[in-house]
Amino acid sequence: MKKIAVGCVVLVALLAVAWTGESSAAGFPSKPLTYMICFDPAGESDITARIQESALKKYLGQNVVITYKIGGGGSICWSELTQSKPDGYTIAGHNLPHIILQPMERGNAGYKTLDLKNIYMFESTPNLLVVRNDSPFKTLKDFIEYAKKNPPGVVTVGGSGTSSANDLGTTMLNKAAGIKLTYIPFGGTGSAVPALLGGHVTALMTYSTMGVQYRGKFRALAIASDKRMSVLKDVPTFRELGYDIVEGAYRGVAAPAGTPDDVIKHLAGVFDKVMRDPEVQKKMDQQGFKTEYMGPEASLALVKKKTVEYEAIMKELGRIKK
Amino acid sequence: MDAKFRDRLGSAIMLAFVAVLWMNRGYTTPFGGIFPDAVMILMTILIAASLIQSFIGRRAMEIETNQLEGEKEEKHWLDMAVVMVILLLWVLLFRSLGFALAGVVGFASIAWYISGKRKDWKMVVKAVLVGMAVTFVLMAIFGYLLQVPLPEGEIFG
Amino acid sequence: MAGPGLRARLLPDAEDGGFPMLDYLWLGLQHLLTFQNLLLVFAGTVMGMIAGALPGITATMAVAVLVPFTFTMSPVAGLVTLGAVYMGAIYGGSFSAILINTPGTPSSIGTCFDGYPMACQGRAEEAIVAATVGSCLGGLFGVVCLIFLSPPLADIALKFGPAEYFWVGVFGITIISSLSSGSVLKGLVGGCFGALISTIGIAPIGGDVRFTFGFPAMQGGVELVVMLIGLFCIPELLSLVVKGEGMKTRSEYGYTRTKGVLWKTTRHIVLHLQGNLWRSSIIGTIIGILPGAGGNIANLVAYNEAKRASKTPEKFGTGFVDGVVATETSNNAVVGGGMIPLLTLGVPGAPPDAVIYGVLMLFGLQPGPELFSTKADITYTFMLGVGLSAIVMVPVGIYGGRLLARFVAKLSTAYLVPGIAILTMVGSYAIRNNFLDVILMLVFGFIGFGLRRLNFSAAPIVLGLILGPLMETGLVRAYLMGMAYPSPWFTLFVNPLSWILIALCAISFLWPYFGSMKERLQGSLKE
Repeated sequence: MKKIAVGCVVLVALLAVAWTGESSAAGFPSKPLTYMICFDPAGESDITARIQESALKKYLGQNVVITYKIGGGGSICWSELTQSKPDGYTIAGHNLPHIILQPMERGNAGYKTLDLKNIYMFESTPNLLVVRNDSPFKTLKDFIEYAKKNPPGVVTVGGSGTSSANDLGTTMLNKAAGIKLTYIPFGGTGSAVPALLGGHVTALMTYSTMGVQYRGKFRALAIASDKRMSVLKDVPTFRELGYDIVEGAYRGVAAPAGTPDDVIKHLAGVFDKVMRDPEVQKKMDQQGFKTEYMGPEASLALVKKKTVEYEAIMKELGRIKK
Repeated sequence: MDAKFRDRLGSAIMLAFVAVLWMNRGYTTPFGGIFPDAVMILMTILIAASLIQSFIGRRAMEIETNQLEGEKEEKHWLDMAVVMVILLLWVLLFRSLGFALAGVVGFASIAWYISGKRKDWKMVVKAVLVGMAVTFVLMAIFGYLLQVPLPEGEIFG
Repeated sequence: MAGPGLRARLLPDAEDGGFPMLDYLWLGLQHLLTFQNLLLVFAGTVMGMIAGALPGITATMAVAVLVPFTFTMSPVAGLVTLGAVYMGAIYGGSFSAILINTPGTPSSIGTCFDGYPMACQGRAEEAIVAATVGSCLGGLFGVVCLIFLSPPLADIALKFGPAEYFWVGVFGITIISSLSSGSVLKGLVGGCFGALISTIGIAPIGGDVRFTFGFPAMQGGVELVVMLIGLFCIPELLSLVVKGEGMKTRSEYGYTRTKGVLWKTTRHIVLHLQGNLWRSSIIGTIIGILPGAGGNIANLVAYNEAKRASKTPEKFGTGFVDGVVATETSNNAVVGGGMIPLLTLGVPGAPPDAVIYGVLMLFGLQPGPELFSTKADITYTFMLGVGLSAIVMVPVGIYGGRLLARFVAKLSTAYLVPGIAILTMVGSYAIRNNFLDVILMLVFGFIGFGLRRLNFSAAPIVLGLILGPLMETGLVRAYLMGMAYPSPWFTLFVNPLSWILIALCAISFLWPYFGSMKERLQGSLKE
């Protein structure tokens, strides 16, 4: 009896050696991908990833494991990305302007803007100022007047992350309207929304998607795009109302610097197919996203262009020293 | 080491920890320091209080899980030290040897060392075999089923 | 309070007469009792249990890994599977907590306190039975609340703002006063230590990079599970080596294979520990409802409350079955509780719920009233499926758990020690595929061993680590919101809900002192 047991152990052991001697098959991708989301679940980055998930699996040929690394307005996730193995198996959702503003504003954000190698930019969402449906503010004018009448800082506006689109949008509104709103950062739209629902903040500077999703519960006061969005026809733009604010977030995926170019190209091709998949497009439109189709070069060009723009804006707003 | 001494040593070490952190505060944002500073100040007060208590109180603040003190059986401190070293080496070489090799070697060496039957070559064989089996099973569960990319090691590559 | 009355809120489409909810329940039951769905519940529960039992694999990870497999399934099948995995994983964490003093998931931290001593006394089977009964009943309670009380309970979740979360965190800290075997002061110091460790890395608000000492790898901070494995497991491991048992097996420590353990324990729990069961279930459900509070603290709060309510509090921590029942009942109640805000508001109550939210989105299921009316057949089948998995856990757990317990007991220490060691290494690596985590795990393990010798126990440290971020985000946001008031700290004290929580904190913290004061009073009265 004991000999049989020992024999089994030996057999298993031999199998183990044989099995581990096998090296992984060539060809990318040969194992599942990790797709890191930098914000709370139920936020835009998460929703997009979920919309993409099954198409990704189809076009990539491998499973995609979605994990969350929340905090610091996304910086925890991006700094981890820059330290991950640059083999293309770890990617993360990334956001403009966050990845530009954070290193710019913080000095040490845990990562540098250009350490994130752009794979693809697949969507954009303009900022949206919302209040609850039962709020006394019916228009942007009401809101701004209230803010002017009260001591500075009383009116609280929640949003996703610091040094992010929501954060910058609030600062821009402050400057343009001559008011002082207090920005309350949350780990993502996913946790900012309950804060407004529960009445803990007066308003949210969030994204167009929340205007669509919470149509019955939220009233959108203004949208920070240059034209009205078709899914939010009734929402005036800030520009229409006299405030020149056009701001929002671009979202895409990035890999650690040093990831081989052909891997990046392959992934970019996959994401391109995913975003052009009719199912994906339908869901994106329904949810209030504007789909973009920018590959690695176009994304990098956008990042560089925006870096120059933001440097000027941030200095003007006094958020970084001149 | 008597109990009161251990109490005070513990408090001293905690105080050193706070001091090290305090001197390394390089907060760059206006509210990055609110919480850590508050906790550090609170902690210092508590450590001071516990030191005072240790000097004027009667009993030492023993915890129940500290059963290692005062038992009659012999203590194998040297064994523990060796195991600690093996564990350290195991962890440090985890990546370069790869999970498979590090697992088998680490498992076998600890099993053999603490078995008390070190002179017996059959023990060595058993340790290695069990090590291989255990490593294999874990690789199957974590590496394959749960899709965790276990390090492959520069040797097998 | 104006607005729809209770009946209308509980029964979404009730007009006059007619109970659509019962219809939905019946429909859900019919859908559930198909061969495919039953098989999925069973398979999901088992997979969840195995994943939960492995240290380093959290319930969230277990659910997340299985999500891609649900793409090919119908929405009902996919959700039912994931729900079963979740429930199973939370239960499975108790096995490693009991057998090797390592919480398989952070929800089972408290199970170590009494479960492991029980195992060391040869009563591992009793502990597993207790964990099973508790998990089943707690799980069912949570699901019942989910099915019948979702709408009113969901509103509670929204009332908690940053200030309230801060006080919830403080309440958690007061638990230290009862968790500290020994000096409360040292426990609090340990808690602060844990809280400071939690600040390492990038700040949750503002993104400040703190205490990395120049190592970029430290920006990710210290993961909870890494610290759990290090602080709970490694010191135990080293103690085993120091005791030098070599080829001796744990069964030689006096493992008694008593007949009828199963029925005796179950009867004891059901007949005598009803208060514990109800209380722990309620605690678990409520904490599950609070988004972001985390099921991780539910088991510790329940443990604390069980200890406070007990006539023999000193028995807790020595292998007292009440402790295991409290922790395991509450953590499984969190499963159902966490789904309440998820399904009604789209706000995940606990991290695995976030993953399930993603799946809901994927299947085009919008959280809200729609789920309970037009899509009710899917929703009710899902909820009933989660409840069913709580029942399925029982035979699987009792049978499998006992086998596992006997297996571990028969292992000689020479194999147990390296076996646990290799498990900790792969477990801590698995969390974020980060090599640094394995090193940290070991380092904290050694530190934990040292700290234990210096009379700092692990539980308060871990509690500080869990509650640190919760308190910090609450505190900083409340501070920011306080710009309107003369002092920014005002916001912490403004809301009536905060007052209730502050009162709870005070009671919880001072309770042990009331106890001893009462004793002294009684003692002096006798003289």
